Amino acid sequence: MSCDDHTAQNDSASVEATFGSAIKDNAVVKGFVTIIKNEGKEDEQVLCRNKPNLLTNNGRDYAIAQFYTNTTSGGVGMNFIALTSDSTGADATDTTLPSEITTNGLERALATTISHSADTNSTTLNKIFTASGTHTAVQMSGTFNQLAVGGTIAHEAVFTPVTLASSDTLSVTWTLTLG
Amino acid sequence: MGLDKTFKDYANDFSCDTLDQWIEHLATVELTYTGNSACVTCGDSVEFNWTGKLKNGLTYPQVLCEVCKLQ
Repeated sequence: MSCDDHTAQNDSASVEATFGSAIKDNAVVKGFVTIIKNEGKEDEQVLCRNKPNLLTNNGRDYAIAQFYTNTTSGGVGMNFIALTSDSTGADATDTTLPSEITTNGLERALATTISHSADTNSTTLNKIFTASGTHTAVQMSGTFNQLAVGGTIAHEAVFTPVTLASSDTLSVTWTLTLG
Repeated sequence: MGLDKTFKDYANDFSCDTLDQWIEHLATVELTYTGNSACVTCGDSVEFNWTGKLKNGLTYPQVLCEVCKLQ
């Protein structure tokens, strides 16, 4: 397989990104989020591109448990992606994604792409959601360690609110660094 | 001096702070990517272990499943 011929990004798309004051620069895990509506289609819209995310307090504790304090088998990776229309913003003290969407194609899902390159500190998660109904003002995403609602939330990121009609897609990409 | 920026490539003694710089770097060095992704043609889940330079503007390879490769 060759990757040389693929050019999937539309660099001419408009970019709207707000860098939040709540970013924890000393976080053990840093990350960037890119969210694109209808990627690759005529009406493609970049909702945020390479925006730093927030590591929740619980997410930090979970990472530390995996590394240092667990005395039994480790937990599942933070590779489930969730969405919400909640407008309260990302908060390190969140233990859930407020008003998490659970229906019509935008419910929490395992990342379709989970990729890590050896000898680097970078990992990528990607999921392309396809709406099966109307969703208004979707504006925040989070990562979790399980498919069912609940579990531990690790990261949160806010993006430009977007309304999706049935069959619209939303590509959510988390690029995470550890160490 | 150690690598002190956000993105780190230990094998090639490189680090940078922005994702754009990281993507540029990934296009210049051969790295091995492991994980799983959807086949770009049919959408089936594919496990991959791919080594190469990423020139697709992404941070992961785009893969084909065995069936689509043969078509």
